Order: sequence, then C-alpha cells, then structure tokens
Amino acid sequence: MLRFTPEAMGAMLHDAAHEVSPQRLWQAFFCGTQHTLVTSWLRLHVYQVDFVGSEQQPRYAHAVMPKMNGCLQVMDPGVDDGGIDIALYLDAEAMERFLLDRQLHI
Amino acid sequence: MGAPVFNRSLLDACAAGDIDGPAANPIWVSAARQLPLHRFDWWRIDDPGYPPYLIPTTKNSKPPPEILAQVELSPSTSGPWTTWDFSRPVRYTQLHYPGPELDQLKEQARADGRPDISRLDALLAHIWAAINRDRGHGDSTDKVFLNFTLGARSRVAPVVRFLHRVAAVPHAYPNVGCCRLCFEFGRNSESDPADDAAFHA
Repeated sequence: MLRFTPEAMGAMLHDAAHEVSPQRLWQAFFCGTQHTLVTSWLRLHVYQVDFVGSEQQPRYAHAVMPKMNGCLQVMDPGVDDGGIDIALYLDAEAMERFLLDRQLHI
Repeated sequence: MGAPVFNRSLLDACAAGDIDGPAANPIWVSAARQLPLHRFDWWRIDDPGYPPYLIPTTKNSKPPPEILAQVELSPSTSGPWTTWDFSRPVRYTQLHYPGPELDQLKEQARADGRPDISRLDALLAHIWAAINRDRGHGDSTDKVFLNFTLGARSRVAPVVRFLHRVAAVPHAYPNVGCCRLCFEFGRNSESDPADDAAFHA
C-alpha cells in the first residue's frame, strides 16, 4: 500500500484517463476460490447516523453486499468495546470449515 | 461539514501529465502499470468460464465500432472465471473481535518485526490466512489474492475534497499482488477518516 504515493496515484489517473472505457479493465476479482475482496468502512461512524429520524442510534448497521464467495466487509462494531466487526461471505463448505477453525480465535 | 462537492475537475487535476491529449505518456503509463493492480479484461467474452449474463454489460461499455477500430487496446489479462462456480451456495457470517483481542494481535505482529502493522492489518492477515486454509489452499501452490479497497483522496496530491471515493488493494503474502481502484460516492470531508481506516485502525 505504501507504493500508492501521490506520484503513483497521478500516474494511475493518467493511465486510467487514457483508457478506452472505464469498464473494460477490472482491478480486482470479487469471487471465486482464489480471491478475497476487502472493503473497510471503519470510522464512518454508521452507528451515529439517525437513519429513520427516530432520534435513536441504530442497533445494527449492515453493508448490503452481493452474496459472493470472498466478499469481506469491515465495519465499526455495534458495541462500544473498541473492536471490529467482519462481515464475510464464503463458499458454504469453506465457511463450515472456517467457523470450526480453532486458529480463527485470537 | 460543508455542502457536498461533486467536481470532477478536482480529481482530474490530480492526474499526472496531460489527460486530454491524443495519447497517454509512456512514462506515466509505465509507472502506473508497476502498481500491484489487476488488469482483468471484461471484454474478453470468449474466455473460459466467462459468465454469459455479463455479456450485455460488456457490450454497453464499449464505444462505437468506428471509434474502437482506431484504438489500440492496452494490455490485459483474462479473469479467473473458471474459479467461480455459480452453482455453489455461498454462506454469510459475522465475526466480532473486541478491542483488547485486536491489540494483542497487533502486538504479536509487531513483535515479529513489523512496527508499522495496524490492528486492521493484523486482523485481515489473521482472517485471510484462515480463509485460505479453509478454502483448501494449505497445500496448494496456486496464487491467492487479497484485493483491498484503498482510499485515494488522501493519497493524491494535493489532497482534495471531492465526492468521489477512490479505493485500492495491498497484499500480505509475498506471492500476492493486486489492487482495486474504484470510484464511488462517498462523503465530503477534508480528511475522511474512512479513507485511511486501514492504516490507523
């Protein structure tokens, strides 16, 4: 990530601007068995948003993501313990092993 | 927070060189293509495993044939479509890691000689290792990729306020590289903390 310096970003934008179509090249793969696609919404403070005008904080906020193998969404937690929530979509068989994976615990 | 800014020229101004000229500058092109970014080509509809239902979206992203005929397409690679089996069910789960556990994980990672590791870095490495293990890659020599959506607003020069949100992908394993750059609507703020959440969590 350290390679994404302002100069590198400028070069990337230059290259992208000269592409024939923005949809042609995809810089990530969002599914399948080899890829994991991570998006972080940490510090967006979604639990401080009054979504429905109830003047109350939401009890649970969830990013709507496609149900695709390897989609991983990082969220602030709904509890005040300084932690992190991970929303994960995985192939059903892999998920079964994942949830039983003892090394998953810290 | 002021009124939203949606001004494409603010982002255009962050690009190197002339983006309105007839051709790209090879110096910038070369620099850009050294970044760990995939170049999967959605126009190669004849690739093995290409999902037929994506063909319409591919077609409507193409300029008219007379324009396309004058363009030399940039290098690209085939998407790994054959690794995506649509018939297999996908399950969802949610994990919660309390702050003290994350601190512990980060300290373990830092003790291994990387003082710049954040809590999120350590957590993603931890979870990604489990994903790979539980996908059955433990004994495989196949490459696996962590695509990370990375904030760009704070990484362009000068740092700008705009409503586009840009993102990309680092990698935790030596044989892995990939970045994603995408533009999506985001918030308008001088320094959106979410842009750098990955680095300071």
